[in-house]
Amino acid sequence: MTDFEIVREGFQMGPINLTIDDHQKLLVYGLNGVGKTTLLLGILGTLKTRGSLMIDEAEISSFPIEKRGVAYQPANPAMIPHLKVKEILKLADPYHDNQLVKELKLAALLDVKGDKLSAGQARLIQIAAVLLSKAKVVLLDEPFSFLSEEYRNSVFDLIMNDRKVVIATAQERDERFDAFLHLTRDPASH
Amino acid sequence: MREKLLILPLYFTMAVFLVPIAILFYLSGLSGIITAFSDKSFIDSLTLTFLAAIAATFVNVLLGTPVAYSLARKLVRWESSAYDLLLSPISIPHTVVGIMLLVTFSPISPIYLLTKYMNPVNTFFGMVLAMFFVSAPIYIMAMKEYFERMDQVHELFTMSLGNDRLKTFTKVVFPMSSGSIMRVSMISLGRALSEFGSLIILSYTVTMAPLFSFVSPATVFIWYKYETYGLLPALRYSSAMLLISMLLTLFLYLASKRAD
Repeated sequence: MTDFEIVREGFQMGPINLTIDDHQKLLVYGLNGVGKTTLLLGILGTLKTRGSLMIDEAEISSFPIEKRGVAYQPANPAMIPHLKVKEILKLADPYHDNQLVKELKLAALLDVKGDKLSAGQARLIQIAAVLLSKAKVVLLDEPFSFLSEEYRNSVFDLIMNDRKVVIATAQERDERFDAFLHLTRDPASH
Repeated sequence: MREKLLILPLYFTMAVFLVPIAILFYLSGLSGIITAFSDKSFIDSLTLTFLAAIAATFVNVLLGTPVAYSLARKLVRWESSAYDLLLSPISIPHTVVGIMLLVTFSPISPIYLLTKYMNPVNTFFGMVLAMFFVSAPIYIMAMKEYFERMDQVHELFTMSLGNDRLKTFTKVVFPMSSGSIMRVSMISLGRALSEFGSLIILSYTVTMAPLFSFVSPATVFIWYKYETYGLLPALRYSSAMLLISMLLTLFLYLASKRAD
């Protein structure tokens, strides 16, 4: 992804010059309100962008969300209320990988409906779904919030070992990531 | 004390609605309602009207829900003009709607070649069409507002997993909206049931063998009784229809609560 600006009514972010290598894990960090989620939504395609957004030489800025190859885990840990976990995972991959279900200990939750999940469980399902999807880029908005300490490490390992490009957000820098983008209210420092 | 100034209009408006209802029931009495319900022609009229209103509401859910969703998500560039056009029947007098539909399907219509196999005059199809025409704008307006307010987080999540908008709509958005669809359908059904202006022109008496033979929609039936036999019979039939409408509203309200 290179040289793009995110535009919405009364707000403009960028230009941001960002190049991420294959399989790289980028952490976007900064205080509340600096535009971390806005950046993710710009890449996802819900906010207007100017400039160039490329994945593997393909310009994706005119593509609809489902064709961008960008999967999004929202910051809100709510889950689709009427679908069972196994149906939600099927939305990501109809022949979903049982290995991931085992690693995240999700087997007991497969028949539970979205509205019966706790915030932490919903977060695990969101992360599992985006990792199961065929997307090349995964956007994780505050992925470790709502997760217990026990799950934080296993989810982190899972994310780092996945072959997808990951762009995650957090309030603070985490040295375990490969690359960093520090967002501040001063655009010159991006 | 000043707060009461805000609540006062509520009491006043409730009185405006409730007093005529109470007076109607009081004057017709239980015996009047029983007399109305023992009239087979009235039962036929009610059955026909409810069937047509339910069919029109069903068409609203089937067509109006995706229409409202496409408008709310601005899936077409001319969304604003489309919305204005779809709302326009609200301001068209319903007798005019009746005339419009009548001529559209008549031999003088420029598109008669396309419409000649569909006859809306004195048919069940015509009743449903007229009821749909007058209730669809209300349904679309209310559902569009609902979709605009709805948190899009589940939609974005589902689409980002590679599912197109149609699949996201059918698997995620539509089932999630069932409570609101029921509530808005209730309003739309009420509007369809109360239609008179277009029906008196298009469907004065409906024949649909073997179920109905020269049966008038309930609103036309009550008007006919009033015109021909005077106030007393019209009172009985009015309160009987009001009772059924209120029971149906209550049923749908409870069903929508359950769907939430």
